Amino acid sequence: MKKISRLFKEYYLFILAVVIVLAVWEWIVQSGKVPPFILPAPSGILDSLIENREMLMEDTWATLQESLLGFSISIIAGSALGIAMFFFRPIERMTYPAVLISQTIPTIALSPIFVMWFGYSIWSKVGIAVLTAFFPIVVSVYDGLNQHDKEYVDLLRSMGAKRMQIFRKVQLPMALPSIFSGLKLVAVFSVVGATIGEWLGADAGLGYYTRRMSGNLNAEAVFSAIFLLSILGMLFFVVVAIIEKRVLKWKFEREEKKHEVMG
Amino acid sequence: MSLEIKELSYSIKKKRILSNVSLQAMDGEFLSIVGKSGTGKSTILKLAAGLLTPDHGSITIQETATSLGAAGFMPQKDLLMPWRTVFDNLLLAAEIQKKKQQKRQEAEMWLQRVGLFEYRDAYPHELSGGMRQRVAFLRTILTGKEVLLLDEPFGALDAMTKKEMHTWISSLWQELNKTIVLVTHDLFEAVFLSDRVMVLHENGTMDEVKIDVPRPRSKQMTPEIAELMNTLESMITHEEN
Repeated sequence: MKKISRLFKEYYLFILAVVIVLAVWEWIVQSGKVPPFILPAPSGILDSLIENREMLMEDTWATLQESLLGFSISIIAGSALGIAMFFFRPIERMTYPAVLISQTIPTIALSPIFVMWFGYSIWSKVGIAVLTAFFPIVVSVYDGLNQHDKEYVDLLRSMGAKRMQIFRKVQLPMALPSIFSGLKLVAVFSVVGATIGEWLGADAGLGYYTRRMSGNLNAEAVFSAIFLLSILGMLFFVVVAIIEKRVLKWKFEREEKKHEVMG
Repeated sequence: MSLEIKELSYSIKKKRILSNVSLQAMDGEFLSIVGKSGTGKSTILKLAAGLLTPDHGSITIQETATSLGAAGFMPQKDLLMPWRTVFDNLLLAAEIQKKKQQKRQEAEMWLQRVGLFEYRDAYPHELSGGMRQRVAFLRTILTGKEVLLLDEPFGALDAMTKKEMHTWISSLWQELNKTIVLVTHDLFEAVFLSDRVMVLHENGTMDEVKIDVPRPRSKQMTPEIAELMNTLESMITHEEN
């Protein structure tokens, strides 16, 4: 109960803002100031959501699979490259500039290539999700590992620690906060990537659904799919945030204590 | 001889930090090194711990050339890992030496002995500065090494806590039978704790002051202690005149 009331206390202004926006929005459409095929009313979106629920379930499931696969592959491959760059300087020298440059290439521009390679199969979408998620993970892992405090490393060295022990006991735990901020970012990115993939070539998924429905000028359906996509992104984000809270329990407790002392 | 340093020289990028420094510490001795900032006191400890490699000279710990893991090293910051409990912080060295299971009892015994057992599973941020420094010292003891190198360990503590730590360390050391080399710029600390104080000068020469005050020593400033502190101070400032 206490937790709920605290959550409410922290977010009630946001909830209020959402309620106001929805109310004004509904009123604008209902009063005919904006035609519903341009901006559908929230109630219309809800209706469309319920009406097409079976189709939407299937499409959500497809997008969920694609983004989850893309997310997992990015985590595994991205961490591997980030760690390899940290351990072996030549690898870092070879790949870090490429990683940075790759960040400036618009993903959408590269996406058709994946459709060319993998066709309409799930892998073209997974590939684009990986493309958007992979490099931010590499950067957050590599930068996080470089953020460690050198004094801790010296302390462990003075105890005769091997390089792997220093990595496991100091460098990795100290990198975790940075890694988790990267993961939270990427959790949302991978959904975006999968959706872009679906626009370009797919026969299922929420991105495919929005494209189809916008072709029919069915604004309600487009908005309902967008709503589900943002739910999906939020879900990913929340799952990562919960894991983060578990793993970095010490950090959150310490920060809470600092607030108490200062407040 | 627990620690023997012979003709030690060390420079960083052509800047001489230490030149021709020699020093010995006997078994079970409490030795302090004082001196102006920039004389390289802390560098001596880092070299002795094997963290740095000398340009010249030799360092032996218990008759063998020093290496990483040869001595217990305690830096100025407590450097307790915030994600580990007090108990797990104490077992850090044991984990590295792959002796975690054997050392558990010893770690618990130490916590009992210094009255910190109730904080066994607490995280460092739940402890006061003094308690953290005690845990850091226990962690150094639990490296199991005979020579402990303390690099200004109480520098960041407030005056009262520092005094408490002095008495605490002094009584522990008397039971421990370990060699401690302490670098400090607190002259009272040096006199109160040590058997011998070395004053390090910029040219690498050292003055030695024996502290023959019987133990347990008074926490108060006695004339005897005041005089020894004056002697040290004049040795440190001597170069300027």
